[in-house]
Amino acid sequence: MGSRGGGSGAGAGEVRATWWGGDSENSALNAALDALAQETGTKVARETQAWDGYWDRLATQTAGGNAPDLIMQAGSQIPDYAERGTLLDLNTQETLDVEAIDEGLEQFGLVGDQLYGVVAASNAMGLVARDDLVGQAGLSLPGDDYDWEELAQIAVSAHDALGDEIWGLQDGGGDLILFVMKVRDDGRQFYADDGTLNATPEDLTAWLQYWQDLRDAGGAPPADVTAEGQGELPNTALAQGRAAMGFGWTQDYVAYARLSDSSLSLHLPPHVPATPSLWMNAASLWSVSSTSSVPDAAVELINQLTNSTEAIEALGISLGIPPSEAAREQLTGSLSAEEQIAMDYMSTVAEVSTPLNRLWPAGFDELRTLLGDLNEAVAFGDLSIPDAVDQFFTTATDFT
Amino acid sequence: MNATTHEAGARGPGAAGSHPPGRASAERTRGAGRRRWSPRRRSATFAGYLFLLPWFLGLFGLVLGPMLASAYLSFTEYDLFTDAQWVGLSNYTEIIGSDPEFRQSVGVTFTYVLASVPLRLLFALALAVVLNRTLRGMAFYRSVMYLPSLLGGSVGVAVLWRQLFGRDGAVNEFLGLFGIDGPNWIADPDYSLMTIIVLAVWQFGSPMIIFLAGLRNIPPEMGEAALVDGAGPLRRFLSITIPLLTPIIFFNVVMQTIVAFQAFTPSFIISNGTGGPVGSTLFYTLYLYQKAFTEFEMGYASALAWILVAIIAAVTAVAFLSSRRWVFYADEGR
Repeated sequence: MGSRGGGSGAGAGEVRATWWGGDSENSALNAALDALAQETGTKVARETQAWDGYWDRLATQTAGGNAPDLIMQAGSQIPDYAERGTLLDLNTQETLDVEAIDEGLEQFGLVGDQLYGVVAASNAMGLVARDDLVGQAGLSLPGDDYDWEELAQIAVSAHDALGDEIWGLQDGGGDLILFVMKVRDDGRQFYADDGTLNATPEDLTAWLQYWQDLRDAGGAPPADVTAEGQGELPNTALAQGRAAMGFGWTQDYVAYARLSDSSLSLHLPPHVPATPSLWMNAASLWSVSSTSSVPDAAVELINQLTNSTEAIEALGISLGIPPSEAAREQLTGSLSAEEQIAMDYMSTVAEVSTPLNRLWPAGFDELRTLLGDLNEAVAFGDLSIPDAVDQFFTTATDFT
Repeated sequence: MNATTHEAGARGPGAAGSHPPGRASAERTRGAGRRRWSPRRRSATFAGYLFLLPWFLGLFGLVLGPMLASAYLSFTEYDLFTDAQWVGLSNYTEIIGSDPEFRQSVGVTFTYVLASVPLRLLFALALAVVLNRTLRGMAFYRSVMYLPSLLGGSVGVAVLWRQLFGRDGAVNEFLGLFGIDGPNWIADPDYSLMTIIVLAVWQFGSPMIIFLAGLRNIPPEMGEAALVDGAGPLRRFLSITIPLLTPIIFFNVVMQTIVAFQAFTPSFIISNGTGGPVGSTLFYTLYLYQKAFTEFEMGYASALAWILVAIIAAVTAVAFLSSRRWVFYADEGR
């Protein structure tokens, strides 16, 4: 396996590939594809964009019948794209060779029995802390058994110690992933197995109130500071040194570490050992367009990106943690300090996490955007928490 | 000259313009006598249309065609992927009857138009008056004043704007010198639209150039005559310059209003396409874009587009009706 597909000379055709990302993702993928082009002769035309504009553009291209051949996908989007018949069922591709990938991650690309994406990298949520601010405030961060209340106390005391213009914890009230984790911390799943919402209005009320209290006490920055940092990592309160801690994905930790003048550490989020809230997540997946004229070459690229030692070396962990044991072993020893920290963190997560009970259903993305808007409106005092909760559940029930 | 050259040269396919230029004038006289010879006329007309063809292709393929398509789509539910379903007027009734974001975006857009257009034109006129002199290096100053208009829509400005109007930005540092604790101009919903209006006013370049041309067209004799009668500079400006400039002012008002209604980039780049914070910079076109390309409600977005066309048409019509009362055309002899 792993050789040319179908004997149709697919290696000669040019493949169009698209992905989202910033500088570190772009340079890593460019290096990997260049290395593969040397090896296999497959030329790859590349289209990249930041996460925000990526989906608008991909949807428009797909609707126009002009989708790239090789597409970086997200677990939250695959059900929508698969339902519209725009992705190739990779289980029908005999040349696909991705056995090396961790077993638990395969589900992120599955819709029923069909495989629409191969995991490109895995990640998990973590708590990122700036060592400079934490040191100045004389704080000690909790280990692997603490709850959200303890986190709030630490955040507030950080603000008390560091002065008016520095806050403890970046505002995470609008982050649906964190809310999902909070519900799992309480011992329940966010979605029921049939895809309806399992979280209750009481859960959301408590969640929004938690962050409102934190903002009031100085533990989290006021609304305008958070709003100013929206969009790109370099603008966030954490990167700017205005917040001592913030939540982020493992690859965000690496990006923050490169942006920041302080050293950063990566910790488990609030964690109840009996009901672990974390899960091993697919950071991104590779899919092939159902309209691709060079599906064999695109599938071969997926094989290479998964298995080729050159590609693994070039990618490092800039997309997230490599999804195969072989790749992680190959990288050990060659990583920078912050990359090694991220990789070690994933090993910890592998031990203290439980998988999601099901994948994100359709509508997850809208809820994600909506929670961000609602938390912002509450923070600016434009919306009461009960009204925000009403809006959220009205929208959520529209999907089911 | 060109037309006759082609006419005379159009003896056969490919012959047009292929003869040496020196013969053109001789052929023109002969050509003039043959005007009534219709086969040549017809082939000349044909050649004319042939030259227009690229423009027609653009007009029908890129403008009228898509407009007709969007008119049709505005009566459908269309998600880009599956076939459009006819839904009659329901998009329009939903937008006008029960869409809070539509109302929000209309409010934001009208505020923007009503504030930015007069301010931009005042700036443009004031600078045009200042630049309408003969001074050394004046061409340089004029170019410099035009520069912001070239930069205004670029992504770099979003970065600049953060540096200027952010919480710790240059503006607040300056205010701090006087003991004023300025707000977060960009990220506070009470002020964020204001910074976008400032950005718009700053791009006064093209109306300024048009004003400058208008000022140059005012015959100096009138001002001199008024001077002899003892009118001061302000009096001359208000009683001579402004009335003679009203056609130009009218033109600028109409053009700038239409452009302002369609403003998209400033809000898109400064709010990262969200229209935030809390919808305070949700311009009409940005809302339309979100509906079309983020939520894939292309039918709904098409209806929004046609409502915008209606709004602009109505506002322009009001401007034209009012113009009879205040626009003065010198050659009307009023």
